[in-house]
Amino acid sequence: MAQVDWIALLVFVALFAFITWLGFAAAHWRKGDLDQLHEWGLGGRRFGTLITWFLVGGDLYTAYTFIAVPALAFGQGAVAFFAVPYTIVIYPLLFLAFPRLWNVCHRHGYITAGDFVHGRFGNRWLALAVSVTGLIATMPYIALQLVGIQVVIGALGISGTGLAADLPLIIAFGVLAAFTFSSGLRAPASIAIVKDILIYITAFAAVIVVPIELGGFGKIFAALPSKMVLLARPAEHTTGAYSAYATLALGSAFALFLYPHSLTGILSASSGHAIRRNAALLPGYSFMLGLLALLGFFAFAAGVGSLPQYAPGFKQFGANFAVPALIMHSFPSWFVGIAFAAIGIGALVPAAIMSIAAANLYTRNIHREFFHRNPSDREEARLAKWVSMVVKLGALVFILFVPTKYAIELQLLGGIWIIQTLPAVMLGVYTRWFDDRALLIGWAAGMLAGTWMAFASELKPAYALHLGGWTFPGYTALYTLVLNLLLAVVLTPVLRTQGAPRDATRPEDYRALAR
Amino acid sequence: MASRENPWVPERFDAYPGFMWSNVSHDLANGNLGRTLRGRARMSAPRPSRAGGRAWYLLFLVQFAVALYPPLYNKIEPTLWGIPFFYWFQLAWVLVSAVLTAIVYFMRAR
Repeated sequence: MAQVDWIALLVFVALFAFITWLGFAAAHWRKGDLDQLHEWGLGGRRFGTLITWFLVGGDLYTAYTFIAVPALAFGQGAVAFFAVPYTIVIYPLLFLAFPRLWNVCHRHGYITAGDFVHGRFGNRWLALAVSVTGLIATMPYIALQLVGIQVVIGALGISGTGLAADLPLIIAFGVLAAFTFSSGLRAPASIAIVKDILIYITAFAAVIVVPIELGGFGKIFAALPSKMVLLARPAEHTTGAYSAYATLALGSAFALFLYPHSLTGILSASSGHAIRRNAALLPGYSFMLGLLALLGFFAFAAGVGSLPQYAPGFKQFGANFAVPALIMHSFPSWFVGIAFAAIGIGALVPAAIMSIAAANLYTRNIHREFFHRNPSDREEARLAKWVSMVVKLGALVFILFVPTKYAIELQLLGGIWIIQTLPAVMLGVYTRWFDDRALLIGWAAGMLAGTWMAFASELKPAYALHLGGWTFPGYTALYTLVLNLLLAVVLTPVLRTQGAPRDATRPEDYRALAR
Repeated sequence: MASRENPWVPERFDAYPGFMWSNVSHDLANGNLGRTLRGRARMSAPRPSRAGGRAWYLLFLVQFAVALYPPLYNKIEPTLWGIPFFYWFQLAWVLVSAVLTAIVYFMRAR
């Protein structure tokens, strides 16, 4: 690729070195016994409102998001803005359901959704279904974070052949694996503070500087083809782009907090109040994500797609190269270093939390449940540390040897899969009405139908549902969730047995302790 | 089969201290919703602290309805600093939604 920008590279490496030190030092932050799983994997549940804001923000708004959402705007226009209603809808859900979940998990020492489902429904197979779904949905997500790092490393001009080409990525991941192993959730929590500050600086600088360079917002939007600026108006007898946009937003919102890494971030808060406060404070990130989506349009208007110096980047990374190209086009080298570090570090934070979440799931809900019943605290924490290592290694191997396209498609399927755990987890927080076997059947039907529909629509997120002469294009995940819920509701009265259902939790466990 | 008379009513009603439509409909039926919105919780005799003003949750519905109905904002005019309505409205709605959530938080915390 193009020659190396040494100043940008120096700033990038310096910031990376700083967060590496921070990641290891974090082991001593709010010191706890890291030989206990809830200390290593949940930071001892001690993070207050502010740290939770940084941690969950760094966790949900991933580097891949910052690359992919503007890339979608750059390539397809208005539809990319679905990320905004999506991130509006998630916070009422967070406010309503998750403080209750936090309370019951705190009371019973649960650290995963599988733990909760096991306690609530007394069915190890349902818990296994929830845990396995979480694992397979998380793995491609970790791989995608690596894509984020790959893109900025490529943009910095580092190139080579064979192993040398992948060396920077391998080093970055070695660093990530080492500090996650030694410090657990404390590492991404402390690094998230640095990452989020860098991302905010980058986003606001770009949204102010670039439009000035390009002659104002009016000129930028005038440069776009008119069909990119708005959603296409639906034709007769179809809800068209409108229903696709709205269901994509709603379905993604339902799925988000079911991901294991979201739950890990939320459960590490110090109280249900910290979670509720964050439901009102986290939209700060949504606002920034909306601004970043606009960068895709800036890149389009600046014409970076047709500049010869960026051609190799676009050839290698496609539309994902739009934001890095725009940043290099518009800013001096030192700022390019800051912006790229923000994206690179922004990949490490969620990747660390995701691998911790996956490790918690495997250790608690698969290994302890099915292989080794009574591990000591120390054994449990050790196993989780090693599993987190294996998970990251798997993601690295995947991204080095498998085309990126598959990681993206698997992540799409992951969204469809993870939403199938909603009835057991999110509704389970409110009611024990459902029969556990009915939930399991609903889950299985949703998984199968969702996978089939995704392939039928050529691995695009929207499925065109035909009903009574009308077409309703909508997010596959949401459609299959309806099927899942219908089955669970219809089968519950049929399968319900006599006597009180098994339930290790009590109603008062879901409420906050009186202060 | 279900041994209870009505499987749709939860066996332990206190399992639902969260959102209950019945409160909202009760308020509507008694004409109390307005009073609820103006802060009945402060004026009335001591109630269980968590029961105060569940009608505030309606603010969440407002956030949902607007955000998830694209025909409302899928237009260019009026523009703001050259930004089409579609974009600035949704960005502004993020901020409005955050304020609405904060209102729910403070009203429920009382």
